[in-house]
Amino acid sequence: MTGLLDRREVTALLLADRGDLLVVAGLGAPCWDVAAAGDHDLNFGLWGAMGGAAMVGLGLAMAQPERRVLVITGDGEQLMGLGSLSTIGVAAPNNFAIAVLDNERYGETGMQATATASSTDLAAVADACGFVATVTADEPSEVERAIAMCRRETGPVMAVFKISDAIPPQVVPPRDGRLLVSRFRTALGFDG
Amino acid sequence: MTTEPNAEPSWVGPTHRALRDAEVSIVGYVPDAGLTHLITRLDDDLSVRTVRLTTEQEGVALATGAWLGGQRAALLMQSSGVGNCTNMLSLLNTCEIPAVLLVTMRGQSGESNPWQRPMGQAAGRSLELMGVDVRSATSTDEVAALVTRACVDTFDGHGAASAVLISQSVIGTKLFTGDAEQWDTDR
Repeated sequence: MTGLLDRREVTALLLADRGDLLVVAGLGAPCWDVAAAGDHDLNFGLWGAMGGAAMVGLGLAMAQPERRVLVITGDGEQLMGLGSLSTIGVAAPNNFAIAVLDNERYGETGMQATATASSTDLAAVADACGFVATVTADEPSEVERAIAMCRRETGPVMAVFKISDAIPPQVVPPRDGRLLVSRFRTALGFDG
Repeated sequence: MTTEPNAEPSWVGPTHRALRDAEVSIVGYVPDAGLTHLITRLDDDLSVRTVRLTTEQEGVALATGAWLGGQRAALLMQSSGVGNCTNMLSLLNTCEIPAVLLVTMRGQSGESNPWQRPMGQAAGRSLELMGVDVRSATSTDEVAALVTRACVDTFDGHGAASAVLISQSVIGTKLFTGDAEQWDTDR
């Protein structure tokens, strides 16, 4: 049985009053969830490069140390980049957070179980890699605290949201990588 | 001749300066014996922040994030690590992210570890297949100039990622004698 939380509700709360928050979305459903919360120049949604979302976030956090960086990704995507949690633990960016929308399934490919359905605890992995704080939210009552961690607490932090395996309607952001980069950089004041 | 690996090869200082002059400020790497001295210089350089990666593909994503945030990144790896990067290089290609890769070669002529040969022989072509502009430095005195040119092409010119392959004729070949590590090099 998968989790209780609603992925779109969690994502909307993560991005509420986002201000100058910089957002990286991992490929698949998290990319659609972030788009559903509203397209934004400071979103970088991945349509490929599975396993890379957290490290894109690290590069961004290092380049923009005064801004908050939030990576929103899925359990399967994060499992493919498990080693990056070690790298991020060492780099220790204090402006960096990962929110994992964990339905314990490969949702785009037939709902096969991921390792988080049985033996792998992503928050525990991040803890063991030296993240400053982690939390796993199983119940609606735990969401507010996990959101606050992602938005405000000294990083690197990870919040794992145990979401249901429901598949909401697909909301697609722009897929032209050059456009995504250009508008993101322009919004930060650089040449596109 | 056989030399101890603790003397800095002559290409290292100019190559470090080439990266600095190109305003590279974030460098990701997986260590390689051929890169030891350059890594030490970059780790000690206050104008550069280095990230030690668990696998080379992390570096491709790191460089993407750095560029999104307005900074220039370079990646250092051994030729075997190029194979680890292949799908992640889609990022640089699809999003036109400029990044410069320095790749120290194994598996070329003179290699005494056959396990290094397949990826060493495929590294340059793999990068080209993924849209990276590849050049090879086969002598010590051309490494820094090729890195400078790669940085100009990538950051100011065509915008595609560039790689400089640093041949075993530059870094030497590792000897496996059962004794302490030795390198055969003409550097």
